[in-house]
Amino acid sequence: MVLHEQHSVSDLARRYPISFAAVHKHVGALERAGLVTKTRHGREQRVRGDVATLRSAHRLLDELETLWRGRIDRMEQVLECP
Amino acid sequence: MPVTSVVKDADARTLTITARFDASVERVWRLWSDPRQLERWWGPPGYPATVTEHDLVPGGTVAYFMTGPDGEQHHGWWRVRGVDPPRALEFDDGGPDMPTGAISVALSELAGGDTQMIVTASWESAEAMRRIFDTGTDAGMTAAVGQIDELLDPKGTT
Repeated sequence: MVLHEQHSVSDLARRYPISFAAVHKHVGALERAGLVTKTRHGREQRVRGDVATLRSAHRLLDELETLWRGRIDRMEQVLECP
Repeated sequence: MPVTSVVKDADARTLTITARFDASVERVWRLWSDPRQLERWWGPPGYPATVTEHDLVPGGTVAYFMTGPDGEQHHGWWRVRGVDPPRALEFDDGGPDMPTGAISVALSELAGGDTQMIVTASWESAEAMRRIFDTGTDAGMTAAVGQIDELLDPKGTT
């Protein structure tokens, strides 16, 4: 969603089943990773995906690694709780 | 952490991830061959997968959808290219708004009865890779959010 247009943090919080504080934490992590940029508009902070960064193959492979690491962690959980 | 190595080749657009599990090869194979087990790990957090078709034979299809927090469904499929139970599986992975990537899985027994799993995922183009994460987004972005949630809070305390 943030890849196509700007959204405020509170708007993102409405879109996902997590709290404002959790979204804020996520956005901070994404910003540190260079995946989004934040700009301030009055009282609101808006977030936008950094498409140029996201398009680099290195960055995409990092994202895909995260996806697969998540899957493998869940596999281990399934093995532990059959 | 079961992951033992990750090799990323940006030029070949290939990710190779190796994991070690304290389980037999047959047991790890069931994570892939049993649709009810597959449902428990394929979808990212908040996007549980429901497998509607699971025909693990050459030329067969595995069809699934992931249900998002607002009830929206994201459909995807595998086209099975090769299968050699309980050790090897190769398939193309795609969906209506997702690219096709090629995935291969190889299981082997290690000393002590553990199992090594090597998953190799490759994409035809950077565009195909990028689409995974920005197709209208929800699936990609929320997947990223879910994964980051786990990274930030591995114990799931939030």
